[in-house]
Amino acid sequence: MKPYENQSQSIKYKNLPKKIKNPGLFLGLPTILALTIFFLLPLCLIVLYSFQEPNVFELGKDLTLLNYKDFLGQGYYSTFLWSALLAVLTTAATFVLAYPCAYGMVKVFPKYNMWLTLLLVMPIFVTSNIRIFGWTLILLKGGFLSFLTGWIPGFQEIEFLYNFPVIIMGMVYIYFPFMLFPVVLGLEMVDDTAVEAAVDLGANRWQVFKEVEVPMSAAGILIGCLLVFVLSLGSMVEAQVLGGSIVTTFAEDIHHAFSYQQNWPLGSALSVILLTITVGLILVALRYVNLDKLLGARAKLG
Amino acid sequence: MVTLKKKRAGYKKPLVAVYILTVIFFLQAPALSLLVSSFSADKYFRFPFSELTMKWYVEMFNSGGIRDSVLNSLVTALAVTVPATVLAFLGALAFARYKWRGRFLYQRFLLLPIFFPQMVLGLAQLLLANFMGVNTSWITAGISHMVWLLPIITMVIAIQVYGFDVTIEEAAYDLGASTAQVLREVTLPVLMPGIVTGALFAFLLSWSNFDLSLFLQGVDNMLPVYIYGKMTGGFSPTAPALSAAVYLLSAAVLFIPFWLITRMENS
Amino acid sequence: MSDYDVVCEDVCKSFGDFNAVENFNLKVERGEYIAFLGPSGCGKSTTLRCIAGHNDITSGAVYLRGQKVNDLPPGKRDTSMMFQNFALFPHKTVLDNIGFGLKMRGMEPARRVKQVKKFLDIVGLEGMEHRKPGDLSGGQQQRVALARALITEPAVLLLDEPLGHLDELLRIKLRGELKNLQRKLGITFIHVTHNQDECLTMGDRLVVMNNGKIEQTGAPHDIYTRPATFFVAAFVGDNFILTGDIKSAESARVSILTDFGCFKVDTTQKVPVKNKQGGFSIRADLITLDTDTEQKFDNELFGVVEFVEYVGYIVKLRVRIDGINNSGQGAMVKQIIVKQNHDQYFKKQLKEGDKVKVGWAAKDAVFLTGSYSVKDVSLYGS
Repeated sequence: MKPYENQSQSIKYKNLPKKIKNPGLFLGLPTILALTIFFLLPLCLIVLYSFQEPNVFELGKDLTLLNYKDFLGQGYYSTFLWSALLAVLTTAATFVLAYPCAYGMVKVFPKYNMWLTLLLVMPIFVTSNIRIFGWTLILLKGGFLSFLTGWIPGFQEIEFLYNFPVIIMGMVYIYFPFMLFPVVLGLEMVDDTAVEAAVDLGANRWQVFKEVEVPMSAAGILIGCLLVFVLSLGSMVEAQVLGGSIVTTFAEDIHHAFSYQQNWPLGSALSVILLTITVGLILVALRYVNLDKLLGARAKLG
Repeated sequence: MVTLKKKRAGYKKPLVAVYILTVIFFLQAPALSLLVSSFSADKYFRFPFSELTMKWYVEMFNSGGIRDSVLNSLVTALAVTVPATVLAFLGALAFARYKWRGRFLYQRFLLLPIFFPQMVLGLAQLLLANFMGVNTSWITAGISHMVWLLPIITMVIAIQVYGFDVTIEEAAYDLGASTAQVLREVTLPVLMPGIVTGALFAFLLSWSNFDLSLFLQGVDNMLPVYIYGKMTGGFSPTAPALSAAVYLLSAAVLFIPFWLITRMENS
Repeated sequence: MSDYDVVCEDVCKSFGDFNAVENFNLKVERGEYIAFLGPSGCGKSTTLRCIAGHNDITSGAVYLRGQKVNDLPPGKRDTSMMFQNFALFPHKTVLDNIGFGLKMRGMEPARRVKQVKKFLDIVGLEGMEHRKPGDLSGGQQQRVALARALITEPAVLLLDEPLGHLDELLRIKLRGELKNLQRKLGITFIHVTHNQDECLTMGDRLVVMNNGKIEQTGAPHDIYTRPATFFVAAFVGDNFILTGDIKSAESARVSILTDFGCFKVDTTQKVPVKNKQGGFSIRADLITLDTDTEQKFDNELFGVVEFVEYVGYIVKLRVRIDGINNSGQGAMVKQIIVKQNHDQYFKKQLKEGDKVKVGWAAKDAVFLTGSYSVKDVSLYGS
């Protein structure tokens, strides 16, 4: 994929009404202001706090890199790597699960698109801890799953919780809709006639997938993977509840620093590290995506 | 060409259908488990249950703590929905329709909060509140919700705006309409489905939000935080009932409007 | 000024550095059917939108019935526009779509409904009031768009490629209906299209445009038989065009030396001095092909039939001719399209490979000077 220049060329614009000189800026200003005050500003604060002396609650003049040193010195980097591993595995698993689903929704059953979307996306409108709670009831020793496996001799009283794979399962479960929706948009960008032409020229199923479908839906795949990776990198609840104490996530460390350790500067520094990686990835990836074409896929633009 | 397509789709369709249904079942499995568990009379969770009962639901309705948190969440969600939708509508037009100098940066800046770990955002906003000497309450929680879900709602509406044919507005101007009339008669009605969907999402996302509420709710306990407390402080038998109830309610709030619209369109 | 419905005075429109329309001058009389013809991107739609008010003019002036309207918004001008994609309001019924203009003027609903019903009759859509645009066919949508534009009783109706989205048969049928409607209503129509046949059959006067400028204005017959520029000769009708050096010009007959020989053209124009560049164009249906080489013509060529295309009422023959460029080096090949009607063709029934004499009279050719764009001519002409 090439970096995309001049991204706004693909759409024709009309500037109405004519009285306002710059309608785009005018209309976007409230949102920009809201985000600047309540999003950008807090982040600036976090950055400032990260350079403060440990355990202070007020901003002072003295700046220090102590908190960042602690990232390496106190072993926080290892939790970070664990979180990264979880994120990578989650992203891969979610993609494998979601792509066929998205394909079915867009290409095989387009008539049911709205209902399928609602059913598959609905879970994100229910608090994640409620949903994870439901899983614990299934996976607990004495829960639903162990009841079912109890019928198989030798498999009684199995504890399905508190291991690594179940954490991945939980995270895939939570972040599935976030992979699904962008990939659906990406697949809607795939031109059916291009697929037909490829088949016509002798391509088999795998070749069509590799040569036509994946490149044409690449933008959606990229956004989906990015979203899931970044969100799971900063996740905490799934690993805590389903995995117990076998894995500590980076987000948990951050929370810990703020709450139990009452060390705001440390928590801030850890947050800054997380954010830097996250924002860096986002900005790099977005350079390769034509947002107008991806989001306008339903309207058959570009 | 036709036969080739049929052959390809022939074995494929039922396979894909089964797969999708399996995924749907996987996604809704916890809901089922919560629902079933809510009828267990046991004080501790054990399947199969010793006896079935509805008493946890009754206890749920009587609980003052639950009532308060439901009210808090409801009020916050309603208060957030209106400004979020209005701002998102304006922002969506700026996102998808007009070509302007800062558009590229605007689009990226708008998308950023979606990718953010909510917990970090919540903590950062808590720091800001503390810095400004503001006490946390449902108001701070509401503001926090709004900032986080603004990008999502903007995108939902923007997707509609991309498909909006601007020439119908030109036609309206041509026929003598003023700016206000064009908005009222043409632009808003055509974009209404996206706006309504956006508002619905805004309500649901605020109502169900945990990560941000946790840090910014102050003394006004929100329902998701209340449930979390019940979950982690040892097994509480009302927890499944409450969770199942919330799950079903959210599903209803999401599905019923769409179902109504489909019925209206078909009549 | 007020005798004319529309007057464009040196209208120019640029988008940044790009000059979309330059020095557009036109006077339209009441009740005329004017057609703007030209290739994509020639500025015809832009000019139309300037007259409508949807585009602001960079310089010049537009007058509607004597009143200067440069700064008047489209809603306040006495024009109505019919858009290429119809631009119907998808969420409103046919009734509300057509009645929209009246609603904007504050007419009460009861009167509006009566007016709408009247116009539904005029365009032939009785009983469709409660349908939505999504339920209508292309032809029906077009009529709704037409009714909606006409109901406000504008002085001028502006149509932007109104028949472009329709299939062939429907297009031909609606051409006649539009023309009849215009005659019946008696208002001025300005119709933009890139389709020649539409222009020639419908317009009282044509304006041929290219690259933002007017190439020629005139009645269809004049433009078809007497093109004024190379572009018009190439774009309108099937013409054979050649350029070369003017060798002599005596008593209204010009001699031009081209790569394919020396040819004579009769003209009433004032011809520039010898050895200037000039050219001519001859209509495909005025060229005679014969295997009998006895016949004498003012202008003659020899060629070989390459392709015979039976169109039905005419037959198009593609003849290949060879020439040598003026400096004596390099062979040149050109193809002439010749049109013969049924009887003409079946008299001799020429086929591929036949060696033929190509001939035409000097009085049938049209003398042309001016800028000659190889691209334009090869794209549209032969």
